[in-house]
Parts: sequence; C-alpha cells; structure tokens
Amino acid sequence: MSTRFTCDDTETLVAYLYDEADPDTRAAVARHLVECARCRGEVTALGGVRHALAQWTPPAPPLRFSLGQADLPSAESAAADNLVRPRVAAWQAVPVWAQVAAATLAVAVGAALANVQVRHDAEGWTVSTGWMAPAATPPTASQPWRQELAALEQALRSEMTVRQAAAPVAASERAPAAAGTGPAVGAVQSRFRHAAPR
Amino acid sequence: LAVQGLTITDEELVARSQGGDVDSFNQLVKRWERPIYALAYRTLGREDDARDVCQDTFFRAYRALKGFKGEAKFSSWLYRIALNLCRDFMRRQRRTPTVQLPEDTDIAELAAAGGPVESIESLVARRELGLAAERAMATLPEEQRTAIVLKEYHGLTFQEIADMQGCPLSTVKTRLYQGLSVVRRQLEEGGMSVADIRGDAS
Repeated sequence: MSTRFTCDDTETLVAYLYDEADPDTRAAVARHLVECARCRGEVTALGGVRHALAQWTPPAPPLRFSLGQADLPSAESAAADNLVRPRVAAWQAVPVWAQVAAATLAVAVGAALANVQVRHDAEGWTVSTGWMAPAATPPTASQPWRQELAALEQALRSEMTVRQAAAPVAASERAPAAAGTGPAVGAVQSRFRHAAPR
Repeated sequence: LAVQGLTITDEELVARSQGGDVDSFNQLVKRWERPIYALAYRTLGREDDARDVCQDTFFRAYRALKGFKGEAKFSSWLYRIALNLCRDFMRRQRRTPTVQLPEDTDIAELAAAGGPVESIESLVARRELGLAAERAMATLPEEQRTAIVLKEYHGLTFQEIADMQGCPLSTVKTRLYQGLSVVRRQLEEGGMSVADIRGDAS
C-alpha cells in the first residue's frame, strides 16, 4: 500500500518489465499503469523491443569443440602431471597470419641463432641444436611426443622473436640457465638430456 | 553410468574434471558450447570471432579448472571468462561489433524449422525484426549490450549481471533501460512500430 511508483523511476520500471520487482512494487507499478497512459505506452513499447530482440537468433554452425583428438593427450598428461602446458592450446589460438609471421621470423633468426634449428619437412618436426651430439637424433614419426615438440617449437619461435628484438645473442651460448635463455629452450635441452640415454 | 536417467549436474562434472576426467569436462563443453558461442556471437557480431572466443573459453576454463572453487555457478564462471575474452578481443581489434548479415539462410529452411503453423509472411517479418534488433544492438556501448544479452538470452538476474559486470544493481537496471530505449528508437526510426509488436505469439 505504501509503495508508490513515479513516472521517472526507470529502474523500477525495468524491474517490472523483467518481472524482478517484489510483489508490493509490482502492484504499485500496475496501479500506476492503469492511470498513466505514458508509462503504459512505454511498458508496451519496451515489451515490443524485447519481442524484437527475441527474434535475433545467432547462426548455428557446427561447433563440437572438445579437448579431444589433438588436444586430449596433452591435456591428460597435464592433468596427470599436475602440470599446466598451455602452449598447445595457445598455439592453436594463434591466428594463421601470426603463425606465418613467426615462421618468417624464425627463418631470419635462424642464422643468428645457429645453435637452434627447427625444421618442418616430410619427416615431421625436426629440432637440432648446436650443443646436441649428432647421435641424439630427433624422434621419428611414430613417437608420441612429436606433438610436444611441435608445441615447443612454437614456444621457441616466440622466444627467438623476443631475443632478436632484445639483443643479438652469442651463438656459442650453451648453458640452458644462461641469461636470455627462455623456458622453451631450457625445455628442449632438458628434453634431449632425458632422451639421450635411450 | 551410475546416475543413468538423471542429469548429472555441472558441479558433479566439474568435480570429476578436476579429478582428471577429461570426458567429464567434454560433457561440460558439449552442454555449454552453444550458450557460450551465442554469447560471444551477440557480443562480437561475427561467426569466426565468436568461434575463436568460444573455443578459447573452454581451453582457458580447462586450464583454470583447479582454481574453480564453486563459489559461483559453473556457467557464470564460464560466462565471465568468455566476456573477458570478448573484451580483450574488441580491445585488440579496436572495433565495435559488426553486423554480419547471414546471406545463406534460406527462408524455406526457416519455415521448416519453425514448424508448419507459421506463415511465410510471419516468418519474414520475424526475420526482419531479428535483423533490425541485431543491427540496433550493435550500436550500443559494450556495457549496455552485454547487460541486455545476459538478461534477454541467458536469463541472468540483475544481481548476477551486477556481479559479472562488477557494478551496482542500480547500474545494471540503468544500462538495461538505456540500452532498450536506444534499440526502441532505432527500430522506430527503421519504420517499426514497437508498440504494435506483440510478444504473446511466442
């Protein structure tokens, strides 16, 4: 009874429109609408706007996103290791132009960074490093961690880009912990250290 | 499964996913990819951008899942991730949503989807109305548009929108009112009499 509604109270009008007003307020607005043609017109018009909005349906392309297929193995191992490996997903989110740009840069930086080379050819991804003994050949096509290598390769590219922008890096630099060596380079090095005894 | 016949709640699926069960997470993806895509589409206005944001939302959610403590609904959490990604995206692109008119939608196709009762005339009218609404929405400032999208298409309460937008309840109502008023004006300028639009049909 005591609740009153005035024409300029647009917040309450919106609450009424979306049926989020408490019962007292709702009744007050309803009483007001009986008397006030202007507000009645406004509620009707906004109701019409809502109906128009309801006709806007977004396209429905097939989505079927899943952390399956290509992404599942790394996601699973990330969960198992309790280790976050965001590179795989982040890589896939990189637009094609950026991947092309990264590839171009990687080629340019390749000369300056003679100790790390990443190639993609018929054999798949190949990572060879200056500090690597020739015997430690890259994994063959059937090995499951090729994917990881692909992700590492992407990370390497971005690190190289940063390094190139920052300062020229001595080609003889070997120690993974040396200044300027990013985590992906370190990861490659440790990967090969692990791989060496095989 | 053990709970055959019953719908497994999001919370259960989240708990299983947190335990490392990727299949459970993929069930969550299946359950929520449409709403998240629609949210991104209505925010960004382009199919390919919406797809990217939608996909990225689930990647990020998966990675951050261990940090999700269930203080909010899982869907609210997803919405928040998606909206942040949309905002980043728009900032990067420095643009407001563009209206991408779907040219390949066939009226006959719509008629089939709409069921046999609806006339072609009414279908065309509905479609025009929807396109006009889409165009008008694209002109709104981001906060107003997001508030309307969350309210109209995702049924969030004022309070949930306020939480998501980090603003007072009254601000949400103001944004809704102002946004609706702008859409109204644009529909009217486009020759549509919004007072005559009846929502009872649907």
